[in-house]
Amino acid sequence: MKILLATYWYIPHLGGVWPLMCQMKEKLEKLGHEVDIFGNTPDGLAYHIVNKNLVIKKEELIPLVHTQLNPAKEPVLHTDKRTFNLETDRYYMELAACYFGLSQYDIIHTQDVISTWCLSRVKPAHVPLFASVHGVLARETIQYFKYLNPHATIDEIKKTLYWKHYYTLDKMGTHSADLIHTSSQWTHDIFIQDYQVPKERVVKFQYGIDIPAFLNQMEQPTDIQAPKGRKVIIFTGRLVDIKGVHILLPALSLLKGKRSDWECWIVGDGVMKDVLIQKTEEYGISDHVKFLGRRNDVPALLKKSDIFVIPSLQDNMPLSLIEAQLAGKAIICSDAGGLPEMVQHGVTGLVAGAGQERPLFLHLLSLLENDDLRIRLSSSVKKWALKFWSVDLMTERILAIYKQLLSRSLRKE
Amino acid sequence: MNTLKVLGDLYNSMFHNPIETNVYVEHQIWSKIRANVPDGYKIPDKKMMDIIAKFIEEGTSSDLSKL
Repeated sequence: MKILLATYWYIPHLGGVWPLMCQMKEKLEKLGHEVDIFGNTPDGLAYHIVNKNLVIKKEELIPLVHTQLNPAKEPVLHTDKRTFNLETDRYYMELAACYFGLSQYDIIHTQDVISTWCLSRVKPAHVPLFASVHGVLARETIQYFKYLNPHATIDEIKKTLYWKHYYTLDKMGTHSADLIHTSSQWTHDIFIQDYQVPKERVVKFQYGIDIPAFLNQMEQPTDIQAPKGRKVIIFTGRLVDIKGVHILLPALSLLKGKRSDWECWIVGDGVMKDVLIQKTEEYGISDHVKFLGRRNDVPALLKKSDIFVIPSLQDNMPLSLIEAQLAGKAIICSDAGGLPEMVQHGVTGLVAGAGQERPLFLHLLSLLENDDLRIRLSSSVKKWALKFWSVDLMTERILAIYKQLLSRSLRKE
Repeated sequence: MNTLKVLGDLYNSMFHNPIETNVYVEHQIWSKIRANVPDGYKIPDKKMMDIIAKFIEEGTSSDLSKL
């Protein structure tokens, strides 16, 4: 089979989708399939087929598209600058897909709603379109607005063109694929209930990870050393509002008031980095919190840590949590989105209310105070994770879906 | 790559209500695109434009969208 994995987002990028796409490519190619990966370039100036180094620069498309879509002719498109930018960037994706040619593929497997809607508009009718959707854009938009303006109500946010645009993209995207894959019950239910996607067009199964490779990476050297006599609390992920690091910092400040035998490593990068560093200083916890930036040795850093914390305000099935579970860390997660499906409170970790600093602080305190609890949670999560996150199982399921969609498409012909 | 610039109007079939332009584009790129777009493909996406127009008609808040 010749497969196209596609995303509207920048690739390579921070976050879990890119590693997931790479892993799928590797696994599918080991089974004899051919896989291309298509998406925005990291600088956003072009689209590319990453593995073949094929590029089409947007500057080749912009002059004609902008001229044909001028404000006098398309006033609706120009109502809002962000809407205009996103819409035109979608057209560049569609044109880029036509430039590279979609008829060479047996199946297209998208990783977000925007690329799903784009490619549904330009793909040959006989090529099946399967979409793994890793989040809900309209809900992320609410969190984004809430972060910018904590007093904004959900009703006010839902009246903005920005939110309505993203809601429409979610809806168009989820309705335009032949089949939608979700990894959590949370997204599964949202697509069926809020977006009215027919039940029979949504499948749910968990992601997978190459466990032996991850365990091997844990054993690799790192230049970061755990401090003597202090437990290490680690966060890994993008430094963006929905990951909730701004909620973790006040919890750490409360923790410092009780004990000082800990250090927190914030691993990752993102638009909030400077704000978070500044807040760390304001809370007076700079001596306990280290911002390590983007790192390539996350598995080795997890090995040196004791407690993994993920205080997301919205999340689906984050790779960072999967890795921490495989590393056998004591987990503290929020109850946002799909996270509580991944952690059984009191058995494989501790769950705190999203957006609340006090429960986070109390869980951190109890894991520092109670060695037995920390060790018990670590050991049971590792045992569970080693069975649950099999990449072979995920690949098997994906391939079964490809075959099912292909045979359906052949029957139609 | 050998470049050959042609008038963008050659690709008017891909746009809704196209206008005459003086824009020159790369022939090799745009011809390849035009050869691969499905029948009836047009920019902008009319379905989305109709939805956005409806949102505007209903009235959208501008304060928050400027955040």
